[in-house]
Formats: sequence, structure tokens, C-alpha cells
Amino acid sequence: MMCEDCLERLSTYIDDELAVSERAQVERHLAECPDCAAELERLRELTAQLRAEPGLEMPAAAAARLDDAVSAALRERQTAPAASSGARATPPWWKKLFQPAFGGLAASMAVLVFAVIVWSGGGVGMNRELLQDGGSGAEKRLLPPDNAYRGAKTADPKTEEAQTESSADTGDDLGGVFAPDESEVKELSAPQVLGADDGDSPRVFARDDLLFLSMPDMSAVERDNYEPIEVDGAVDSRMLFDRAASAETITSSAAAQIVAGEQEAELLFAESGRFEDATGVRDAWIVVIELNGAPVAAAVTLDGEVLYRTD
Amino acid sequence: MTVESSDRALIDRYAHGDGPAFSELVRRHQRLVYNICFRVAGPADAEDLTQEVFMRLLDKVTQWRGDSKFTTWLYRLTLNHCRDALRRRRPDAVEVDERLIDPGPRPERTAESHEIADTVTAALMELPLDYRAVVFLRDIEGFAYGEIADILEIELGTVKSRLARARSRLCKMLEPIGPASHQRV
Repeated sequence: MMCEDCLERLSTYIDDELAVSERAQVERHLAECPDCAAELERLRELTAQLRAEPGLEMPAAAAARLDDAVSAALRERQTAPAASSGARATPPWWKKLFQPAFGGLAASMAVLVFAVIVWSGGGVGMNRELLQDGGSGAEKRLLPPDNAYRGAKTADPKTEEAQTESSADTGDDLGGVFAPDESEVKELSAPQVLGADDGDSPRVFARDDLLFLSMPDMSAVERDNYEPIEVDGAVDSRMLFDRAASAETITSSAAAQIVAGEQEAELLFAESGRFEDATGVRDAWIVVIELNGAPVAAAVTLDGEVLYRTD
Repeated sequence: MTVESSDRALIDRYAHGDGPAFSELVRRHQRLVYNICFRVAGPADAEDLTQEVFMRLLDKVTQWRGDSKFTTWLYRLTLNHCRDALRRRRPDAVEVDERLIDPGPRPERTAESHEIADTVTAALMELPLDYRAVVFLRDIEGFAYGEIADILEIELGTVKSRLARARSRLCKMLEPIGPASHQRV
């Protein structure tokens, strides 16, 4: 072994992280090279000095300021749900995102709207799962996270109010937890409708790298009035999903599979949400799958009942 | 109950509207976050950055999914925040580093160990952040290579090479004259 090779390995050597064969080579070299042995000593002294660096206590005054700042921020968040019932000057982002679209919707009809925001890059996001009918049972294959999906959900404003009130009990005020920075708002181009656009079917449309699903009653003007906001919330939702799944309920991919039936489908998006119909509001998976080349959105309860599907 | 499971319990309580549970989480981990900020971003900004990290945590803590230890995740969040902050830093903030390297007239030192510690701290601050982070995690905090790879989201080989380069630079900084030229064997 040459000195250069030895020196490259000394750092790993002192941490005892070299492979056995490399370690033996380094030790043989050290035995016959005083310069490298001296370098080893220097490294050992350095790491000993660094290890002796004391752990630092946060100064008491700084700790007190931190405590005050955290308490103030928590108070601000705690007051948000109560304010959203009417007194709040600006609605939470997830209401703002969709409010313009629902002014004319009849309260009695089932309303399901959500946005799927798709990043072409990024390392976080929901699992993109390919569902396949493998003949002897469905096979689920996880694809690498080449796309990150981030999403938001909402229902009509009246439902929102009810949901906000009920969620206030549990502290699940998504608006407070997920509120994005203003810097995350960006301008979007005109929407491009994907799939059927016959005025009767729910529409899936894309604006830049965002995907939206709209109900048939939503006019083009309303669609265009969507306030484009990039949402940094999908991971939170996934955690809620994971929790739901651990409570002996179905997973998002199982929900998608129920919607797909025997057919091959790709799960484009999944989001925990609530779905309202004549029977009331129920917790459900909101999933979008690609089925026969067309997007299909559905709401599936956590015990597998399909409440709604767009096809 | 382990620390990890009690972290989980606090986060769950916070997710269900229990604000004091988050305050408890802050108190539990503020020393850790402060140490990272102090060592990695520098003493002058440590307090501000610590506060910013916890404000960020307030929004993000429910994103922790438990597939890594909470402290690992918190280290990552903190280091990323320090990195972002240093990128945004203006020249006046850079003076912090200058002051560390050349602290000027000092009070009398009574203990040699203080001199050594200050010198090491100053040298550490001279390293690029990525090198500083890996030295901090390994040599000051004592993390295993695998944990460092997990925290920094880099390959194990990158941990080894960064650590080797960082330590080599530190050795050179602390011994300006440097070792005698090597005889090739």
C-alpha cells in the first residue's frame, strides 16, 4: 500500500470502520511508515480534542425566549379554529383554495373536490403504487418515488364549517398545521382538461404541474378562480393514513384496488379525507386511479365501502 | 416508556390539540438543537436558529412518520435549516466566523484546555458546512457512520470521504507547519 492510499483510509481506520482486509493492509503499512504513523497520531489527537468538546447548555435567557415564542405560536394556532367559524379575517388556505368554486353548489348534493399537486422532482411524497391484477390475486408493486404527490382536500363551505368545528375537538385543524408560506404561491397557466369534458362528467384538469379534479357543476370561470397554492401537506396526510391503517382499516392501495376491481390500474393519488352524502359525513380515502387510460376518482370508507366514484 | 415512544406520545398529543405537549417536546430537545446550531452555524446565530427550527417543527412535526428515530429526523431538520440559513447569510453574518478565527485580545486564560477547545472550535468553523456537520456528528456527538448517513441523507462512502477530508483539513489548520513530506513506501 502506498502512503496516499493509507492516508485516505486513516480516518476510517481510527473509527474501526474499515473492512478487515483493508485494515490489515493499513496496519502493515503503518508498521513500516513512520510518517503515516505520525499522521495517525495527529488524527487521534484531533478526535480526542473534538470528543472533549463540552455539550453546550442553552443560555437561560435564550431558553426563556424560546419558550415564550413557542407558547405564542401555539396560542396563535389554538385560536385559529374558533376564528374560522366566522370571525377570521382570512380563511385558512385550504378553504381559500376552493371557496370560489362552490358558491352555487346545492348543499344536498355530494361534493367531492380535491387538488392533486404533482411535482416532477423532489424526494418526498406519497407512494406511487401500481396496482395489477396478477391472475392469482392482486399484486401490488411499489414504484420509486420519481414523482412527489402533494395534495389538499375540501368539501363545500358548509361542510367545511362542520368539519372544522368537529376537528377542533381533536385538534386536527389542517389549516393551522399545513399553512404554506406565501412564497409558495405561484401563478399557473390556463387549465388543460384531461379526459372527458362533456359538462356532465367530473373533470380532471392540469395546470402546469398541478392536477385538479372538479365536479361537473363547476364552471370554467370557477375553475380558473382556483387559487393556486403549492401545498406541503401530503406527508402529514400520509401519516394520518398510516394511523388509520394501523387501526385495522384498509390502506390507500387497498381502497384503490377496490375501485379498480379486476382491472389494471395505477394509483395516482390518495388522501385521507371526509366525504359527505345524504347519510352524513364519513372518513374516507379519496383516491384517484388511472383506469383504462382515464382518471377515476373515488371515496372509499376505511372499511372498504365505495361511497362515490366519478365513472 | 422509552424516550422515543414518549416523543411519539407527545407528538400525538400535540396533533390532537395539546399545545403543552409540544412545549414539552421543545424543552426536551432544545439542548440538542441549540448544540447543532451553535456548532454548525456558529455561536452568534445559534439562538435565533434554534428558535426558527422549533417554529418550523411546529408546522412539520406531524410529518414525522416514525421510520427513523425522532432525534435523527430532528437532527436532519435542524441541519437543513442551518444550511439554508447559511446560504442566505449576508456578509455581516459572516463576520461571526471571522471573529471566531481571529478573536482578538482575550481575557487571560487560566486553563490550557480552554485554549485548545477554542482553537478546535475556531478551526471547525472554518470548514465548509457539510464537512463541519459530519465532524460534529461523528467526533462531538459520537454518531455511528450509518446514523450520520441517515441524518445527512448521504451514502456511507460519502460519510467516510467527507470525514476523512474534514479531519485532514482540521489537522492542517491546527498544525500550520504541517507534517514532514512523506516518503513514498
